[in-house]
Formats: sequence, structure tokens, C-alpha cells
Amino acid sequence: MRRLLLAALLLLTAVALPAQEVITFMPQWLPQTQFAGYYVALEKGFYAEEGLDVIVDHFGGSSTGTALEKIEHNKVDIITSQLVSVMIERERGKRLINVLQTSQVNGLMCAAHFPIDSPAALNDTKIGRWKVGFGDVCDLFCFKNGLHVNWIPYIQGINLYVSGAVDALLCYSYSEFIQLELATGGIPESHRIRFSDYGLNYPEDGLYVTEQYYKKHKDAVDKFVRASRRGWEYARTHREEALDISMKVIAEFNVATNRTFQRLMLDEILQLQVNPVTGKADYAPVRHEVFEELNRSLCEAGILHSTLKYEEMIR
Amino acid sequence: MNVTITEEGAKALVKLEGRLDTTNADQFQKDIQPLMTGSHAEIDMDCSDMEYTSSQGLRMFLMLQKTVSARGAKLVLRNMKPHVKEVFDITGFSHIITIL
Amino acid sequence: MSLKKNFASRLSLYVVLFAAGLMVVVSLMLGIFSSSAIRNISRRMAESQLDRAILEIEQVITEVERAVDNLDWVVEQHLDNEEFLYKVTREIVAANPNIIGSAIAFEPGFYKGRKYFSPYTYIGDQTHEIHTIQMGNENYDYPILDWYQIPKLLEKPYWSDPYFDDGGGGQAMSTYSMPLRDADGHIFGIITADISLAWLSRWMSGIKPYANSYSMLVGRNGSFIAHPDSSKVLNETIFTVAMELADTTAFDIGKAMLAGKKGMQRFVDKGQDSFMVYGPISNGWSMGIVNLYADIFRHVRHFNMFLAALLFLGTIAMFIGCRRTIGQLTMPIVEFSNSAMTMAKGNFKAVIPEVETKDELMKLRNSLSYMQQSINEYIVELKSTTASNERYESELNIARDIQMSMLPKDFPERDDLSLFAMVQPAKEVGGDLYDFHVVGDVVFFLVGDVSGKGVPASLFMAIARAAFRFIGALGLPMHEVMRRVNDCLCDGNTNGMFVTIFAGRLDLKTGRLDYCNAGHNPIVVIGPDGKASYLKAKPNLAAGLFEDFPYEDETLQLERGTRLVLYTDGVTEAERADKQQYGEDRLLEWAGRQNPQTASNLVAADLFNQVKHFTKGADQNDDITIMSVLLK
Repeated sequence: MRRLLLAALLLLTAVALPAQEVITFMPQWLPQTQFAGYYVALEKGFYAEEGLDVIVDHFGGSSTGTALEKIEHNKVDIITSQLVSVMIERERGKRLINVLQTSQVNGLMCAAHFPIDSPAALNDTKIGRWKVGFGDVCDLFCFKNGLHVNWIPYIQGINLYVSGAVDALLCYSYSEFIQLELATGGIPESHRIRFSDYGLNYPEDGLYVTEQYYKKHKDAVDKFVRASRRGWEYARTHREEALDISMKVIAEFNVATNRTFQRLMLDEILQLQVNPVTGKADYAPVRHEVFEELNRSLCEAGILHSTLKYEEMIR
Repeated sequence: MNVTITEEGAKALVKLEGRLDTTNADQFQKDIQPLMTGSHAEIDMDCSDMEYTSSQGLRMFLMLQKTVSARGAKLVLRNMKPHVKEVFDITGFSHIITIL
Repeated sequence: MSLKKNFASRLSLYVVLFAAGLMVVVSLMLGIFSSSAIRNISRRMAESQLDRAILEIEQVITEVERAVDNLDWVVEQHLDNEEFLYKVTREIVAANPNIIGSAIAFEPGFYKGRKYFSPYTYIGDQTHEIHTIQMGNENYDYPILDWYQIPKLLEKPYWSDPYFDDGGGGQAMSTYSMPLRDADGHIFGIITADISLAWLSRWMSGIKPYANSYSMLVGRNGSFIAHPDSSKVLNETIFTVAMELADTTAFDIGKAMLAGKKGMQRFVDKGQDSFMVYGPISNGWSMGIVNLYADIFRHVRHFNMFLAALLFLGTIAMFIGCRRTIGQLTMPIVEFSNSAMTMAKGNFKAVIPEVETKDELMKLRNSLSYMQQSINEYIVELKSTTASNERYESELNIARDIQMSMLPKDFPERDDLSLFAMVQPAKEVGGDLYDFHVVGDVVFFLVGDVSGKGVPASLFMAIARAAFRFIGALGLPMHEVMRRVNDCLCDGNTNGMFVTIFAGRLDLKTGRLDYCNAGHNPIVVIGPDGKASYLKAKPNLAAGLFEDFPYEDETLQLERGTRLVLYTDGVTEAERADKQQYGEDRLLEWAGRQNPQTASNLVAADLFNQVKHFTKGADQNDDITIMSVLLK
């Protein structure tokens, strides 16, 4: 009800100020510091300075629909999503364009109840995995290592792991992995792997718009990207403030979380934004060869079936 | 005056050092008291380090000589320095006391 | 009143400091022992409270579990009766006050081919009305929710960690899930019972061993099921709290609790010294009770403050008491001191106060009194001694006058003779002597030196002088004179006193000198040409030693202008401070410088002055006698 009211209110505001371009932005998950840069840009008025009226819609990430589905139906204008997911969607005809690559390092991990001394340790195990996707890089891993895995879908995987109902859990270094650590008091170094350490360092989060939206609103998209970068840069240098802003947004959505977790998440997210090539958070676009290699790998694993054009997807 | 008495059987060896003058004549008299009252058959005094004797001192030697003679014992003074010996000579004490 | 100046104050301070130190040490030890005892008791108390609370919560849990356990066959038998299944959930909720919801959720496709089928009864959070619904649908994909999926995967009952349920209950809850199995043991669904966390938190808040104690329930994933700070429930885990406390002990507590351990751990909770007792609950949760030591020691602290105040006041009282008592006890010392001061100022009759006690003070008083008496006696004695000394001195002066008067002073000054003699005793009276007398053209003279000095020597000298006066006048040969004098002196001389004498008789007409030397220093002869030499004379033997000693005399022919200088060893043995003696060489040198014409009194005086000049004021240690006899 409150959310409806909020949407209505925002809509009214948009009508009242026709000079400003209204953009609806949807992060791919529930409010958390994974999206701190955007909250900061909004709160500090970076979008407004660009003449944008940005509405952050957090419907995505719930059990009922993803940001990718929303943007396909033109219900939102800009979303965050992961490169692999967007590539898969593109083959299905969903033509999204990457306008900003925030993530520079892959954050996907696997935490197990036993030491993962080699990929083979995960063969024939029950591994928890998001119901809504995100695990494609792990699929590449399983394919490359010839692993058979009994996947257990989850929405919140922590208890699945803690209760011992699964042998291992796919998780993000900035999210579920931190939760696991805060729930158990620490996962031993030997019981976890980062897929980026196994030649699968494909960048993840970026900003995406549809081709037709980009054609129509190129200017506004550029402004959004610029202001968003500013938001991230501000968050990097003002972490506690960024955390305050994020916690406010989180509180509005009644998400069960805590500040400690969100701080650790922000730290990790900002770490993953550091380009390993340059050593800086430069938001470099995905490199051509990385894109092509990923495309090839996905095809080999049978996840993709065609060669996608870098130029069409990456701006 | 420093008096050192060593007994060797019936013989007393006495070593005299320093000056024997009016100021310490009384002390000297006390020092040689064991020789006066003792029963040594022979008293041998080494005077090589005796620097001076006053007439008071001479009297002490005389008293000692008399006492020793009275009990039939012997007193001998040895190695006296010339200027000390002279005093004994001048006063005629060399006649009474055996000085070697 | 300065402490440095007041003995009583200082002593009191030492006594009080010592006593206070002792009291502090005893109190501290008492404090340490009692606080450790209190610590142990409080821990045991907290532990037993925890045990009771766990027992209570386990009763609730067991009741909830019993409500849904063993319903497999009931469900299986009524699978065809949807209404009955709804009724089962409703009855579970209705019959158990602790259960706020219950569901029978079937495996997708199991129930009549339906993807989702789950009759669910719950009590509305606000309305408290009982609702019964079918809750499975595309938006509520229960098969992948923890409460369904985990017991199914584990194939055993499961207490979910707390969650906020969107499906129906709409509140924070924990769900007990029991797999439903068919006859073959295959799981075809899950039957559940929900308990409200709000209720648990309320119940837990009543567990308070101490005023500021609080308790918590922690799920297997470390999250708070119940906590006094409701914002922590569902949101935080025990580890996020531990990280905020920045106390690694708190982190260890979390690990121990999740590991299902029972224990007690001291830690710093928000800056306060605390301890936590914790223990596992049958369903895999863990309960913990935090107690503040400040709470436990509050009464102890009050008691300690009271004790400290008491100690402080007691110390002051003790100081005052000590000061007064010691002041009284030591009052005599002050009085003694005053008496002593009076005495020091010269009043030796000062009254010394009496003391009653027979202790050190009495001793001190006796000492003081004895001292006073001694001083008084001494003063009396001193007075008499002084008087007798004075008398003695005056007698000595008289003796000196007498002795000096014995020596002739009418020195002859004739055409053919200049004779002078002087004597300077080292003490009031001396042992040196000289004498002369002229009879016609013959002069008889002598100089003598009695062994020793002072009164004994002077007496012997008097005898010697008298003997010479008498015997010398008889006109006997010199050796005979000396022999008789010697015999006279030997008579009754038990002390071994002796006298060295040079005696001569000079015929002024012929210049013939007859002399006899009785162990005296060689005299100086100065010829008319001024040449000086020592007269070699037979030493014979000092007089007074052996009777009948055969003295021998000698003769010397003097030319006119020849001077004889007679002296005693007070001249040659006159010493400077550096123990150098005037000596015979200097005397001879002096003699060589003398003008033969000079009157004898001047020559004697000159030699005396020479000697005095040589000794430079050093104490004269022997009598000095000089005689000059000049044959003109």
C-alpha cells in the first residue's frame, strides 16, 4: 500500500515538473549497499543536477519478478544486471545495451562444509543456488571441470547451508558469503573458492537499457551514467555516509539486515569495482577479448548458442 | 720509641726503634717492665734503629742494668748508631753497660 | 604544630599509618576473597536461572512439537478430504496457545496433481482472528522456502531460524516443520507449527537474574530469535554484535553457542564488565543470559564505601587518640629537656621532674639526675683541684726562685777573668746547675746536668750543688772532689738518678786548668786566635751511679785569651719542629766566630739567642745552661 502511494506520489511529481526527464531505475535485487552508488547519487542530488528525475524501483529481486523481466516489458528504463545474464537474455531477443560496467571482478564464490582442495571435491554434491539465476559462471565451472551437481534452488540460502541441508552454497563475496560468515562466525579459508581464481573472472554488475530506449533517450542515459559514476565515486570516499544513505533506503523496504553486514558488503562491492588491470576504479567497459572469450565459453557449455556482437552490446 | 720483645727460651730479644726522649721515657719504662720483673738469663737489645736517647733514657738503661745484674743475668746492647753510642760514651755509661 | 618538631605527633602518625596500612591490606584481602566468592555465587545463580529458563522453553517447544508430530497417518488417511486437512491445521492452532499458525504443505504435484497445495491456519497479527487459507501459489513458492525445503532435504524435523513470513502470518516467526511420510517412508509433504517471536521476546524479557541482566535466544544461523533490543531480532546475528563490541571474547561466545555448547564467559559488553551464561536448547537454538558485574557488586560497592568511610574516620580518631596519649606519656621528656636546657645554661641545681612509672622514662630521669649530681660533684672537685693547682703552681714558682737563688749571680769581672753563666729550665724548676767561686787567684767552676727534669731533677740538683759547695771549697784535687761528690750523691740514691758534671779549677796566674769530667758533654775551648775545639776529656762516669768510682782528673795549660764554654745537652740537643738538633757542629761553628775579647755575659747570651733562633720558638724540651770562662 505504502509502495503504491509512493509510486503515485512520484508519478505526480513527474507530472508537475515536465522540464525534468523522468527515469525509472531498477536494481536487480532488494535494497542493499550493492547499489549504494545509486542511492548516493539520488540522495546527494547528482541526478537532479543532471536534470533527471530518477525513481528507484526496488520491485526486482523479490520472488515474483526480476529486473530483466521488468525492463523487457518496458516497465522500467534502466536496470542493473550481470553481463552473463544480459548476454543470455540477448540471445532470447532481449536487446539490452551495457552503458556502464561497474563490476570489474567476478564475485561468485562457493562455500562448502568440507575443504574444496580441487574442483572435483564438488562433484555429486548438493549445492544451493539462487532460484532466479546468477549462477551461470558456476555452470561454466562445472562444465569445464566435468562436474555433476545436484542443484538446490533457494531464495535465502543461509539456513540451507547452516542446517546442513546442502553440502555447499553458491554465494556472492559481497552478499551471501558475508552472511554466512556472520551466521557461523567464519568459513575456513580451505572451505571456499572464488571462481575468479579459476580463470572465470568475468565482470558482473553493470547498467543496462534497451536498444530502443537508448536510441530515444541517449542524452538522458549519458546523464544517468555520469551521475551514477559520481555517486559511486562519492561512496568510495565517504563510506559511512554512503552507508547511512543506504540504510535509510533499506529501512524503508523493511529488509532484515544490519549495518555491519551492509558495511562489509559495501567494502567488498567497492573492492570488486577496482580494475585489476589498472588498479583503479575506472569503470572500464568490458574488454573486447574478455567478451568474446566469455561468449565462446558460454557456447561451449551450451548456455549460449550464437556469437554475440560486442559492438551491439557494449557501448 | 717502639719496643718489641721476643722471647727465645731464657733469652729475651729486644728491638728498639725510634727516639727515647723525655716525652716517652715513662712509656719506655713501662715497655721494659717485663724485662725488669722477668727472669730472663740474657737480654739482647738491638739498638740499630734507635735514633736518640736523652739522659732520662740513659737512666732507664741504668735501672735495667742494675736490676738485671742483681739477679745475675746479662744485658747486652748491640749495633748502636755512632751518635747514640757517643752519648753512652760521654756519660761513661759504656763502662757500666755492655755495648757491642 | 609541625610534625618535624613534635615527637608525639610524629609517633602518632607512624602508629596510625602503620595501623591504617594494616587495615587497608586486611580490607583488600577481605574484598578480594569476598568478591571472588560473590562472583562464584552469582555465576552459579545465573547458571541455575539459565537452566530453569531452558527447561521452560523446552517445555513449550516440546508442546509445539507434540502438536504436529505423528500426524502422518491422520493426514494420509484423509488425503481425499480437503476440508478435513484444513480442519487439522485449524485445530492445531486452536488447541495450542503457543502456536500461531500451522500448515500442511504437500510436495508439488502430490496432491491431486496440484503444483501447490497447502492448507494453512494462522492467527492474524493485529486481529487475533483465526484464518484458514490455501497458501501455495506462484508468488509463494513454498517448496523452496527454508521451512519446507530444509526438513525435506534433511529428512527430519526442523526448527526454522526466525523469518518474517509473507505467506500469511505476516509476522516474525519460527516454524517447526515435520516431514510427512507415506507408508514407504517417502516424504510427501511437511506439516508445520509456527511460534511467534514477539511472544518469545516478551517471555525472555522476564528472565533477569539482576537489575540490568538481559537474555537472548540465538538461532543456528547466529541470528537473534529473541533479544531485548527488538531491532536486532531477524536483522542481526551474534557475530555482528560481537564485531561492534570489538571484543574477540564475544566472538568466541557466539561460536560456542552455535556449536551447542554450555558455558560461562566473561566479556566486555558495551564497555561494561559482564559475563554471559549460555546453553543449548533441544531444537538447536541457544539461550544466553548477560549479567553485569556492576549489578552483582552494587551492594558490595556500597558496603565497601561504608567501610572506607569508617576506616577513614577511624584513622582520624585513632590519630587524635594516639596524639593525646603519646603526648601525655612523653610529657616528662619535654620537662626533662627543659631541665637539661636550664642546666646547660649554667643552673646545675635545676629541678628534674619526678616520674611515677618505672620504665625507660624513669631510667632517663635517673640518668639525668645522676648526670646532674656528677656535674655538681665535678664542679666541687674542679674547684678544689683548681685551687690546689694554683697552690702547686705558686709553690713551684717559689721553688724556682729558691733554685735560682742557689745559683750564684755575682759573676766575677776581673782583669784576668770574665765569667758568666746562665740557666734556663724547661719547666719551672730544672735539673741543670752551675757554680763557681773565686778564692784568691783560683777560680773553681762547674756545670752539671741531672738526668731528667722537673722537681725530682731539681731536688737532686740541689743536693749536687750543696755537695759541690761544700766539697769544692776543701781545696782537694779535682778527682778527689768528684769522688767525694759522687759518693755523696750515691748515698741513698735508689732511683738511679745521676748527674753529669764538668768541674774545673783554673789558676788565673799560671793558666793551669785542672778538670774532671763526670760523663758530661765535652766543653768548647776557644783559643786566643779564635780557633775553637772540643776538649777531649776522659768521660769517667756520671756522678751518683756507683760509689767509689775512681774518677781521674786531667790538666790543661791555657794561654791568656783562651775561653772555655761549658754547656749542658739542652744546647746541643735543642730541637726544631723538624727534629733537627742544634748539634755539636753548629756549636763549634758558633764558637769559631766569637771574638776572644768579648765579655762572657755577652758570649753566653749570644749562644742562648743562637739556640733560640735555631729552634724558632719550638718548645724547649730540656734545661739549657751556658757558662763562659775567659782567661784574660
